[in-house]
Amino acid sequence: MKRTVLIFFLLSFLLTAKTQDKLPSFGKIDKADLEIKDCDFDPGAEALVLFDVGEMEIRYVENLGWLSESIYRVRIKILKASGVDRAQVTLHYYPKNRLEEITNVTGISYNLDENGKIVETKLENRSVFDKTIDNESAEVSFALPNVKVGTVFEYKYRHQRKSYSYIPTWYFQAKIPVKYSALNIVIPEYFLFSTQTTLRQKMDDEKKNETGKWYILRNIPGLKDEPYSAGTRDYIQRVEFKLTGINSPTYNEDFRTTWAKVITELQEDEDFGKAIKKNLKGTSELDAKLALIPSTEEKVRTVYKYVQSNMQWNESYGIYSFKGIKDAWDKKNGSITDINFILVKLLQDAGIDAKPLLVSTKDHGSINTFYPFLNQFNCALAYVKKGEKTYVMNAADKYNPFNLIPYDVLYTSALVVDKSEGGIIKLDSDDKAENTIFFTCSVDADGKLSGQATMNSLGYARNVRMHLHNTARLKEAFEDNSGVNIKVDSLAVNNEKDEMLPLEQKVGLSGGIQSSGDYYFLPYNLFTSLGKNPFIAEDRVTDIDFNYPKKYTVTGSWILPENFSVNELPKNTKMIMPDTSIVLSRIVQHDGNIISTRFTLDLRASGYSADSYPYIKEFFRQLYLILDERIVLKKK
Amino acid sequence: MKKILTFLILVLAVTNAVAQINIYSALSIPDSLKKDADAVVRDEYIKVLVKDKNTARLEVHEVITVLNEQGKKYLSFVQFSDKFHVLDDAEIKVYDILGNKKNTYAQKEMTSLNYGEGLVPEGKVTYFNVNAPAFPLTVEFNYTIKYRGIFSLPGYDMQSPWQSVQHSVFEVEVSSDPGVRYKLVNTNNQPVITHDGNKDIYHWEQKNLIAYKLEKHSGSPYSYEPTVFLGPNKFQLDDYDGDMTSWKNFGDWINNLYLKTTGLPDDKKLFYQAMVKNAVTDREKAEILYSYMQNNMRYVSIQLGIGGLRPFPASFVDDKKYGDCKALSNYLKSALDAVGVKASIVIIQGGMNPRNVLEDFPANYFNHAILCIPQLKDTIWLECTSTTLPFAELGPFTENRKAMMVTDNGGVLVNTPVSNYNTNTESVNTVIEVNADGGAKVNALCTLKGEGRDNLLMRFHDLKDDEKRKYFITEKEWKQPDIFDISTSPNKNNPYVVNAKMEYEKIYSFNAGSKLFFEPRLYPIFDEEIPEYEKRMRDYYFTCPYQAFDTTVYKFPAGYALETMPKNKSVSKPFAQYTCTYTWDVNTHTLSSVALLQIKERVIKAADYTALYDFKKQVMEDVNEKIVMKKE
Repeated sequence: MKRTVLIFFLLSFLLTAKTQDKLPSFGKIDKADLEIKDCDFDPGAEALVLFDVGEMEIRYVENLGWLSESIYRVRIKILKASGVDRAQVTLHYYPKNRLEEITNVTGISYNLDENGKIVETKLENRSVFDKTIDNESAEVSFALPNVKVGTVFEYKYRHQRKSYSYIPTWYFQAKIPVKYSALNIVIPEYFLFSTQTTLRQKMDDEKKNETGKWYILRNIPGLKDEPYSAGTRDYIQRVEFKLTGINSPTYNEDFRTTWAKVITELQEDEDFGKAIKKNLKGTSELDAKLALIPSTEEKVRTVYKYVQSNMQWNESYGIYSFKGIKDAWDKKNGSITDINFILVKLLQDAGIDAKPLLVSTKDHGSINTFYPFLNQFNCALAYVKKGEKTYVMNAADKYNPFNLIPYDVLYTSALVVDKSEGGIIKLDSDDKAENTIFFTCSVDADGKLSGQATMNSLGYARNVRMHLHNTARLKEAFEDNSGVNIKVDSLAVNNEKDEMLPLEQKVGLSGGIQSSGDYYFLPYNLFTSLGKNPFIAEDRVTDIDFNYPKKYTVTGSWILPENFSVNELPKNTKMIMPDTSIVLSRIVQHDGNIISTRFTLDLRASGYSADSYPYIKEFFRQLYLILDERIVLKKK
Repeated sequence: MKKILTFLILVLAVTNAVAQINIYSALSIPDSLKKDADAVVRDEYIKVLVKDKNTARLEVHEVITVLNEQGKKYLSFVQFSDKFHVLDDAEIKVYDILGNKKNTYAQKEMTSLNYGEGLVPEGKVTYFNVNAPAFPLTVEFNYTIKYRGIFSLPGYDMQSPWQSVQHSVFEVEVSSDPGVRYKLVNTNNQPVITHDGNKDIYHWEQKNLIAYKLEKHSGSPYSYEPTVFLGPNKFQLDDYDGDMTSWKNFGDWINNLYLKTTGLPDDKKLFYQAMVKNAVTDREKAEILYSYMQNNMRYVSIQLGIGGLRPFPASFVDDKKYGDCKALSNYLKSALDAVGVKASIVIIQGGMNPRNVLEDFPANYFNHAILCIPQLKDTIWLECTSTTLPFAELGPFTENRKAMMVTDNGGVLVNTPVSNYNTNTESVNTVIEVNADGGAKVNALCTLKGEGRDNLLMRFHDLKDDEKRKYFITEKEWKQPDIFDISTSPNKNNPYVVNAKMEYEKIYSFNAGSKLFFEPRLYPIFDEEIPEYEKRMRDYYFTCPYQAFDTTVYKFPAGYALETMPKNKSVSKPFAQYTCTYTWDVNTHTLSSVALLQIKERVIKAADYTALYDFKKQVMEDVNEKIVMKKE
C-alpha cells in the first residue's frame, strides 16, 4: 500500500512540475549539440554541462511522513579526451536508517555515426552499482556506455530524503563550464526557508505562474585552480537554504534565531556544551606539572602542549563531538572538535576560563555574521581571554604554538560559545612569518665556496621550518638555491622544544659558484625558499591569500680571493607597492675583498582582492627579475 | 611431583615475562641498531599456516620502536580484506619510552571502509593511526588474516630501508599436500626445515640487523630488499582449481578464466572484416583495429569476478565501449581473431620500476594485461588502455620486463621490448630575435616522440590555453615571458609538435655595466636528480633512456658585439653523451648553440655512479655557461 501511494505522488509530481525553460525531453537531442566543438564562454574546456537541473518537492506522504523528493537531470558534452572521465559518475547518499535513497537511474549517450546519423546507447540497469562505504555513506556509481570525444550523454535519477527541513546547497558552478543550471523548489507554503546566495553573475528574474521557485544561472565558467587561493568555498556560485520557521494552521514554530539563542542551545547540547563536562581520567602527569606553575599563561601553554602531543587528529571536521571526549581521549584519536573540547575541559579543570570557539576554516569559506546559523562553521577551537590577552588554540595542529592564531582561521570571524561573554569575534592578529638569514661565504681561487649561515624563523615561519625539520627535509630546502651550488655539510637546529623562541638553524656549507669563461656569478638571495614566481597567469578570479604577512631579511658577506676582481655589483634598489603593502630593498657594498649584501622583502598584507592582481603580477615579475641579478666577478 | 612441575612452569613463565619487558622499552636498544634507523623491529613473529589449497592463515605479532617522525608510517595499521582475505582479530598496543603500556586498541575501535577505485567495491580496508606524543615510542601489532584460496600467499619482507631488526622469525607450516615453494631474493638466509607428520615447517630467524640507507632512484624495493617469496603448488580460487608449479600450468589456469569471454557476434565480425579489407599484412590489420579501439573505447576500472582476474566478455565491451585492461585486451584479441590475426593476452606487472619476475619461481607477480601479436620479426605489442600511444609502442610502464604470455598451450614467460633512447626523442629549435633594448621575440618549436610525447598528451594537450602556458613555465621551466602564445599539433600526431611564440621585455639574465649575460637556452635541457654519494651502494634508475636535441639561435641587432661565448663541450660516458657547440657568425650577428644529450641506458650500475655524477657535473657546468655580449 505504501508503495502505491508513493508512486502515485511521484507521477503527479512529474506531471505538475514544468521547467521554466523548455529543455529537450529525456532521450531527445538536437543535432547541433552533437556538433559543438568548443565552449564559447569558456574556450578550451574539456567538457561542457549543457544543463544541470534539479527539481525538488517536499510533501507529506501517508505512512511515510515528510519526504523530500528530487529529480536530477544532467546533460554533458565531451569536448576533449581528458573529459571522457566525466562519463564515470558517482552519486553520494546517506544510507543510515534508510534516510536517503537514490533510485530510477537512467542514462543515454548520443553520438553521430559516419553518416551524420544520431546513435543512441542506453545505460543498462545492471551496470548501475550501489555500494556502501560505511554506516553513514554510500554511493551509486555507473559509467555511461559509448562515450568518446564529441559524445553528448545525459542521466537522471531520483533522490529521496526523509526530511522536510533539509534542502541541499545548489552549486551552479563546477570544474567544467555549465551552460544552464536550474533548481526548482516546491514546498508547502507553511515551511519558511531563508536563502543565502554566493553569486558573481546575475540570476534569472522570477517568472510568475510557475510551480514553486526557480533559481537559474546561465553560462557559468568552470572553476580555476589558482596559486595562493583561499579555496573555492568563498568563490563557487551557489544558493544555500535554511528552514527558518513553520507556520501551519495547527502548528507554529519560529526557527529564526540570534547568536545568543544559538549559544544557549549549544551549551545545552549533549554533543557540545554537555560533552565538555565529561571528566577525563589519566591526566595525573599534567596535574603534577600544573601544580608547580603559578602564571595563567604558562598554565595555558602547558595544557595546550599536553593535549597537542597526546592527541592524534583523524583528519575529520564537524562542530560536534558525537562519540564524546572520553572515547577520543581513550583512543588518543579524534576530530578537531573532539581534541579541542578535551583542551577546553582540561583548561577548565586547571582553573582557566576556557570556552569553545566555533570557526570556519578558510577552505570552508567565510561566515556571514548576520546569519545566525551553525552550518556556516566546520569545527571548534579553544578560546581563552585573560585581561587583554586572548588565545585561540587548535590542539589538533602539531606545529602551531598556543600563542599564535592558527593560520587557517586567521582574520576570520568566529563564535565564542559562552552565555555571558559569548558572541562573534574577529580573529585578528599582527603576527607574521619572519625569516632572518645571515651568511658568510669565502670563495677560493677555483670558485669553490665554504661558509656558514644562521637562520632564525619566527612566528608562522617557525611552524613551517619545524615541519621541514621533523620530516628531515630542511637540508634539502637549504640546498635548493638558484644561481649557486650549495651543499649542507652540517646542520644544527636550536630552540626546537621552546616554541616561544625563534627556531635557530645553523648551517655549515660548501659548494661551487657558477661561472662562464673568466666570469663568476654570486647570488645574494640565499635560503629564502622564494622559488619561482607563482603569479604567471594572465588574469585571476579568486582573491590572493598569503595566509599572513611575511618578512625576509638576508644579510650576507662574500669573501673573495686575490685573483678575483669585482666586475659589476647589482644596483642598490628599493621597490614599493603604490599602497606600501610590499617593500623590497637591496643594498650591495664592496669593501676590499668583501662584498656585503642586505636584502629585505616585506610582504605586509596577508592578502589582496582579485582586482588588484595586475599590480601584484607586475610587482612579482619585477621582484623575480631582481632576484635573478648577480654580483659579477672576473678572474684577473 | 605435580607441585614441582607447576613451580617449574611458573618460573619459566616469570623468566619469560622478565625477558619480554626489555623488548618494549626504547632504552634497551643497542646503539648499533639506532644508527641510520627510523624504526627498530624489536620482536617479530610471523606465521603462515597452510591447511589445504583453499585454507590458510597469517598470524602476525610485531613489536616496533619508532625513533623519529620519519618512522611515522610504522604507526599506521592498514589491512585490506576482500573475498579471499579477511582480517580477523586485530589488536594494537602502545608503550612509552620506558616500555610502560599506555593503550590497547581492539579491532572494533579501528575504522573500516569499503574501498575501490572503480565502479564496484573491491574490498574493505581497516585502519588505525597511533598517536605519537613523543619519540621514541613502541607499538605492538597482533593480527590474523584468513585466506580463502592460496593463489597469492604472503611473503616475508626481512628488512626495509632505514629500519633495523633486533629479532624476527618467519615460520611457514604447511600440509605436505598441497605444500608450498619458497624463493629467496636479495638474501642467502636459508630456512631450517623440519617435518612433523604430514606437515612441513620452514623457519627463518634473524637477529641484530643494522639499518641500511635508501639511495635516491634505486628502483623497485624488490631489487634490494631481502625478501622471501612464497608460491603455491596447487591452489583454488573461487571454484577454479589451478597449479602454479610451472608457467605453463599457471597460463592454463588463466586460459580457463578467459574461456567463453572471447568471440564476437557475426555482424561485428563482418564489421571488422570490412574495416581491414584493404589491408594485407597482420601488422596493417592490427594497426587499423588498434586505432579504431583508441578512438572508440575507453578505460574504466571495474574489478569484478575471480579476484579481478577474469575479464568481462568481449560482447560486454562491444555494447558499452568501455572496459578495464583485461576486458579491452581481450576485446581487441577477439576483433583480431575475426580478421584472422592471432594475438595473445600477456599478464604483466605495470609500473615504472617493476618487481623482477623470477623465471624459476612461477607466481602471481602481475596486476595488468596487454596484448601481443607474435611475428617472426618485430613482434607487435599493444597497450589497449591507452588512447594516445602510437601503434606497437609500449612505453616505460610495461617495457623492460618479463611477463606471462597466455597461449593455447598455457603460459610462456616472455620479455617485453627494451626501451631505446631513439624512441624517446625531444628536439627543441629556438630562434631569439634580440632588440636594441635587450628584449626579444622568441619562436620555439618542440618536437616530441615516445615518452615525452605521451607525457604531453596526457598532461598538457587537453589543457586550456592559459593552463598550457602555465605548464610550459612551471613544468618545462621556460623563462617566464611577458607575452606568450602557444599552439600544438591539431591531432595527436606522432611526433607531437608544440610551437611557442613568446616576447620578453628583458631576455638577458643580468648585466655588468655594458656587458649583458645571456643563457645558452631558455629552459633546462638536463634536470635529472643525481645527488653526490660518497659510495653509491645500489644501481641508479632513470625513468627511461632518452635523447634531446637543442638548437638555440640568438639574432642580435647592430649595437651588440660578442665579448665571450662558452667553449665547446663534449662529455662522453659509455651510458651517456653530451655535446654542445657554439658558433658566432659575424656577418649575420648570430650566435648559435647546438646541443645533444643522450641517456643511453635506463639502469646505471652502482660501480658506474661516480662516472654518472661526473657526467651530471660537467653537463651542468655547460648549462650554466653564459653568452657575454657587449652593448656599444
